[in-house]
Amino acid sequence: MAALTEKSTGWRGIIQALDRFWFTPTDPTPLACIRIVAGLVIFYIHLCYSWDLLGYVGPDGWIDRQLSLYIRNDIDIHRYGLAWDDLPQKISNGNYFWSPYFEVEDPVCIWVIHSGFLTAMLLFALGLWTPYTGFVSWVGLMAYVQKATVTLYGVDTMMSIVLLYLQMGPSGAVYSLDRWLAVRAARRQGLPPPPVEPSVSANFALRLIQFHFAFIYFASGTSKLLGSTWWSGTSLNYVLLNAAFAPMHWPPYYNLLSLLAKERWIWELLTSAAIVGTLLLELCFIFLVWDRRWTWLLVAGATCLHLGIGLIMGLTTFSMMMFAMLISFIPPEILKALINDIVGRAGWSKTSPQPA
Amino acid sequence: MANPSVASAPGPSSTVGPILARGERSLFLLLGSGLLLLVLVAALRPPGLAPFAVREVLFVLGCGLIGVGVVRKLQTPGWEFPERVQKAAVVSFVAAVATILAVLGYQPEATFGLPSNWGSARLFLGAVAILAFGSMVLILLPTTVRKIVLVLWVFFHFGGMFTSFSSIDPPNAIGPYLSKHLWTYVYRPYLQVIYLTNAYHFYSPDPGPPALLWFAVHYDDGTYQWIRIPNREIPAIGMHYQRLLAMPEHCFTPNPRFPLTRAEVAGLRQDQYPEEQIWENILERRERGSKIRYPLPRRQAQGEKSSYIPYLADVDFPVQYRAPNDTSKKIIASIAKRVLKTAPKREGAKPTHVRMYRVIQQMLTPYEIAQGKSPIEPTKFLPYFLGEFDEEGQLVDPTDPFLYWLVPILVVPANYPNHGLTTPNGAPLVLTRILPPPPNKELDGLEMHAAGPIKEN
Repeated sequence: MAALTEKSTGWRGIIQALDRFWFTPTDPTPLACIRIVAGLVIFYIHLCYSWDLLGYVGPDGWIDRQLSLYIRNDIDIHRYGLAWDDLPQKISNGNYFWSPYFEVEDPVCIWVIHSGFLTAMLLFALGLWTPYTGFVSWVGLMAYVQKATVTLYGVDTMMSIVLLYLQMGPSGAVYSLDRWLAVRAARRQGLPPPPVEPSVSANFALRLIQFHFAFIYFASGTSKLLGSTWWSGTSLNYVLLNAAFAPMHWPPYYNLLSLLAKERWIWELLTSAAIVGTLLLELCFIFLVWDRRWTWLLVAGATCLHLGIGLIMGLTTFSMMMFAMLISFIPPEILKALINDIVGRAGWSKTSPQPA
Repeated sequence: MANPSVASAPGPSSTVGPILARGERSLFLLLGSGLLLLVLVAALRPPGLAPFAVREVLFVLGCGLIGVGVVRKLQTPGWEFPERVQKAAVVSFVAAVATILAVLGYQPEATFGLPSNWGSARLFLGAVAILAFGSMVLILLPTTVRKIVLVLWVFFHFGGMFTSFSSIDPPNAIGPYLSKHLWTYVYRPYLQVIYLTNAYHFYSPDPGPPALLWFAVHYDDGTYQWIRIPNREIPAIGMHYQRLLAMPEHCFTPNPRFPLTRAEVAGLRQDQYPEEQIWENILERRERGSKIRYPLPRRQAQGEKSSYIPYLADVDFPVQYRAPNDTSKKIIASIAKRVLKTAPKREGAKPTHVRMYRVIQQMLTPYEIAQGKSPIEPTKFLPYFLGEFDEEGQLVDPTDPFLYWLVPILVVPANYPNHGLTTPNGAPLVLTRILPPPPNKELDGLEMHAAGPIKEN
């Protein structure tokens, strides 16, 4: 036992650290919370496709059937030269896109499929038949992102990340209808509620979400270092004053910006501080977040960043998905205490299933 | 009511045991019926054999039954070697079925398997087959080796994220050789199937101004109506607005190469580089466009009813002329077709064609906002003409003088077009970098162009 707990160095130490990091059994509570938050957001996002469903995925949509099949099957794929004197060459045709909406043309069938996916997504968020509804939700997500390619943005990638990794762990083990049904079945048989064991797969799924989140920050931060506006301190102007995203049409917002801009030094001070804060957060996150002394500061910083993006740029669903991913950094015991507190205040404690 | 003593008495069945336990029976039932349905789908391949959507429903049901069977088997307790072998066997069944159906379907002359036009189902089953084979091996491996394989997969997986991120070309350079080729040969299929192809370059290297799509839909009674995508004035849920806001970005990828000059195409055959795409010809057409009269919008018509869209003297050509690549041209045509198809109906008038513009909305500077300037000031918009399209999404005139050119909204001298500046060929010319001193006037080239040229008698 002592040999296991003492810190080793060299290759042995690296292997032990990898083993601890990826394969230590963990309470599935954070995973379940991610499922609920992300699941509801994913359901809402897909519900919004109903606004113009046939425009998004129909045969006469923004990308019509003929063009979507061309992009999937026939578009030329080129590669750069392999040798010094090699020229770019065509190597294949088409993309690896798959979606029932490539094949289905009938509007009624499209609506039926859409309703099926929406049902699965809602049930997944509620935690009913989680392994099955989770997989169908992921297939549903793919059905839209692989077909409606001209209307995608960052939130679709975040949904893909979260839904993919949620398949790998027991996200329905707690705070779910599955759990409620299991407890009820045990009670009917006069048995105690089945325990919720910490699991390796819960830890594996959570680590994947954590690492992916940290990698996104790293990629975003380092690529910003190539941009002149991030060095000249003007990048935030393109965010705050962007009339297509920011609520420039809303008088209080416009007046606030106008007031701040009247004194140049105030404007420059605020935007520079925000730029430095963003860069520091994105660049440091992947290195420091694993140290508990820094975790809270970085998670709080990321929360502020996404709150700003949600409020100013109107990307609320994107921010909600990032918040869902941030849950993975909250220790299960704190999360459980927080939920128990909320449940207790709301007076649901008798019916709420408690994880072991 | 069974007699407990009889029920518990040892008999032939309890000594030998049932051929299949209850759980196993249901497992075989699920897998067997799922397989049967998929065989039926494959057998109904010849066209006309199955009525509407029957095969599709059978396919979903068959996959669903097999999926439920596999998940239930994997959820059964026990992780000793004999139990792992059983679980691996069930997973290998899925792998085999998926492979057979997907691979057979690839043969156009095959009489069994998925129909050749079911590309998505074949790709899905191909991915399922690979996943199932991998899972089968993983289940059979001893714990330590399984952990090593999983960590190696994690490295491979995030190697894909890194490749995706690093293969993007940095400003004024080409991305790394290794990333480019890893992306092309290794990661593209893997990451496209699971849609994790994002490079995560959010607001970088630099955030830019937003792009919008504006359409002038023309009716057969000679009138036209603007449709703007996205449009804050039309109430819509935020998500729909954000999705439409993404469309102008995705539909336009600039042609990586500026049109070749006559000297550069010397020696090429005409089918290798069409005459009308030679830069001198494009430029000549643009200059000719500035000699065509367009109607002035009512708000600007002060005595005169028409004017010319000026030729810009001091804006670099790569800023004035932005042609999309070939795929973008197809996407633009598809979007135009949809706009025309869904254009508001008018009594007695039918939409006939649409003029499409990609509009860059330049942002206010902090100084301008301090002065109280409006963010929707017309001169802040830079519209680029993407073409005129008919109901079939066909480009009406590929040699339109303004095709892919900036159609300016700008302030010109009050006596424009008689302000004394013209090209050598007589087209009115303006300078944009210095605001003309008063008296001056706003000239909305976009509104003029959208209305269409005045037909000469």
